[in-house]
Amino acid sequence: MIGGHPELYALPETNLFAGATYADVEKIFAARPHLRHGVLRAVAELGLGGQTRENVEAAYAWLEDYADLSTAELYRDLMALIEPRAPVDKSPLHVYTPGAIERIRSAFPDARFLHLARHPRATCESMNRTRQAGGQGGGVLPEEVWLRPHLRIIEGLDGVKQDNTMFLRAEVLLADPPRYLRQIAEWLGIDAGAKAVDAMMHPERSPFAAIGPENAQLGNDPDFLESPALRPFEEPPSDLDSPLSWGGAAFGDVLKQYAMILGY
Amino acid sequence: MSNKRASKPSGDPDEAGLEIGDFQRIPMSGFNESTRTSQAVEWFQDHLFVGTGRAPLGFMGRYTAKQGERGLFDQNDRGSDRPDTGAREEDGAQLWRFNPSTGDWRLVYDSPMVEGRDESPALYLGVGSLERQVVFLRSVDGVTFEECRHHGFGLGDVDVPSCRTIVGLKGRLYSTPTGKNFGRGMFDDNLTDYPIVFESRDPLNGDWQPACQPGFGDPNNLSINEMAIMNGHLYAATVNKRRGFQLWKTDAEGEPPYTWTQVLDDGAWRGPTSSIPSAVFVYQDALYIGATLQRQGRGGMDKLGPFAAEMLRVYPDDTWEMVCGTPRFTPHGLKRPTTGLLGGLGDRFTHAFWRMTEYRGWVYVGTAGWKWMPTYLWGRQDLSEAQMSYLREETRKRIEGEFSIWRTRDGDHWTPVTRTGIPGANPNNYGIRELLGTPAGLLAVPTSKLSASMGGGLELWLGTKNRSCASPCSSSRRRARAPRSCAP
Repeated sequence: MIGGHPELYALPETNLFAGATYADVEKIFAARPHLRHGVLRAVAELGLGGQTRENVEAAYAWLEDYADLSTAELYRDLMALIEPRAPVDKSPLHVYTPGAIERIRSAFPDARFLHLARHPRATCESMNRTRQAGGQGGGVLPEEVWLRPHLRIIEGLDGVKQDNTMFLRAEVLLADPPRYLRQIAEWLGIDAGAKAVDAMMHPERSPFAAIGPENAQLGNDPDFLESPALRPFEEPPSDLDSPLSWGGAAFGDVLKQYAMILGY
Repeated sequence: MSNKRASKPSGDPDEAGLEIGDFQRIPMSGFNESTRTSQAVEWFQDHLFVGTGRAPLGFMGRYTAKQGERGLFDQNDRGSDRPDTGAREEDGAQLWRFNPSTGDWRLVYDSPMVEGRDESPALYLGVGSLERQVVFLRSVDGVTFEECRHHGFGLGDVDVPSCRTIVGLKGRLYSTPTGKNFGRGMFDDNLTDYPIVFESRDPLNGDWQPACQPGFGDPNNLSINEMAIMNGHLYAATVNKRRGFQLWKTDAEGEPPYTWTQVLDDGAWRGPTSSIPSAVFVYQDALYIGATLQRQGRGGMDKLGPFAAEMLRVYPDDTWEMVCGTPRFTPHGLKRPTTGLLGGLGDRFTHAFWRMTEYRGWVYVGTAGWKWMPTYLWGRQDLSEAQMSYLREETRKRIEGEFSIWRTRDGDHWTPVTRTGIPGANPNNYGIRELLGTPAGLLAVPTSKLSASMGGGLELWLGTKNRSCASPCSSSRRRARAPRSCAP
């Protein structure tokens, strides 16, 4: 959404800052190849003229050639291709991987961070459904997968220049996009007029808002790629106290308190 | 992009604000040695009135009354001595009157100590009890105090030990219950079973009527902690540990309960880390609100802190600004601090803006900090070792007796009067519990961790540019501990 603003550019999930160099990141990608799709699609689209199978292969080769390059330098290369627009990146590995936020802060001291949250129950239920659909079991408890990134974000953004970080509940944003997208634009110091805000409400216009070529299909939420659109949303009632549908008695105290601090 | 409104300075533009060296300690005699904090201060008929409680509320455990077999029924309307609980006669409230021109103190009320509406200005105070119910007192001369009828807001056999705040509007008195004496744990002194604004049109005879629905209809509103009058409206701020404090207002027209309008919700959309309004003050047609997170005992959210206190500013048209605090998106637009400062006026270890007042064209605010009781260091497992080290290191920088006093003319440019407490004051002080601008000077009342008998105790400090103080004072400039004559 935010990247739809005329002065911004919505990159797919590059996940680049999960490592200091591309070689570091590639180790993660090797184990979970779909996490590589975003950066491949970005390089193909922005640097090679379009998201085709051949361009994705070329993008992969290009990244391999520069495997020792720092991910910050790679990112600057991508930024140069979208100038004068500024990138918007919501890569999940940037909050799931220790050190990623610090790498971003170090490379881009003036970067703006928008800390978004989703209700822990909805997050965990969604995660559990995905795991069941994929026949996956065990692993880190869903509630830990919710809590750890938030702790990492809160601590990672401690000390960031005060106007460079903000927090917003995704439910609030999705329930009233114009109200909050306007404020986000105001915060970023870019056009907050109706036309610009309207552009932000059309994420389907992004060149990455579709399933990609067969060798890089993802790079974003699969459900969104299947049916890219901003849909009406009403925050469903939820609570922090009732039993957990995926097992376990209830949320732990620390998770509940952080959830409350974040507005749940 | 700021939605900041310009504030016009008031008062004499040449009037210099007070510096910390302008404060002199007021000698006190006769106060009970178990006192460690004031409960209220007020200026009335050229005298300063100081209300105290004796032996109140330890920190790591509090005196909790034992309920008798018949509950409170045996108190009738006046309470009882409750000898079965081991209560002592001296465990009661006192009211002292101070004459700043002579330095004389007089005990004008010693608890426990009756028709018609006020035809002349009267002083009202609520006397809390650790055993019984709140009693309201009334005085028109500052010497003779009458006990008002209908203790405990006339609610009958219920646990209403104290009142939190008292204000007057349109010839009526408004107050709110606070505290829980029976069968409760620690830190309940700001909570109540009756989160209701009560109104009396005849306080001497009690006749308290609910002016609002309990908790304004929200069961998460656990108390009404602060009230203020602005532009002919009564404002009431709630304690809400679940989602953050709320601010409501009414014009108090018609018959109670009145129609109220919600002005702020969810701790001004910060959430439960602004669960309690710690101070309110009206200045230049704006209501200033200090908001924070109350310490909550073991397992409380305070262990995840520190969370710096925020200051907000509400206008009569219900628009509002953040004076200092965390920038955020709200239903009312993007809010950024008008001062450019995060919470605590830039000090993340400021726990509360505890009291505000105006004195000679300046607004003063006194704070309390987190560091003296670092609950945020206890048993944490959510932070990295690096972050814990940072918090421990910052906490170690604490100076005994430290707190801050700030002043401003326009609400946006703040100058520290002190960041380290009052020089020469008792090192057990940890915050400013009362600030009161009076014709005699600015009264600053620190609160202490300990009673006088334990090495702490209540202190009163008077700040004035006129150092020819008529009363014997000790100056902070000399770092004097013992009362002595004040020198110009």
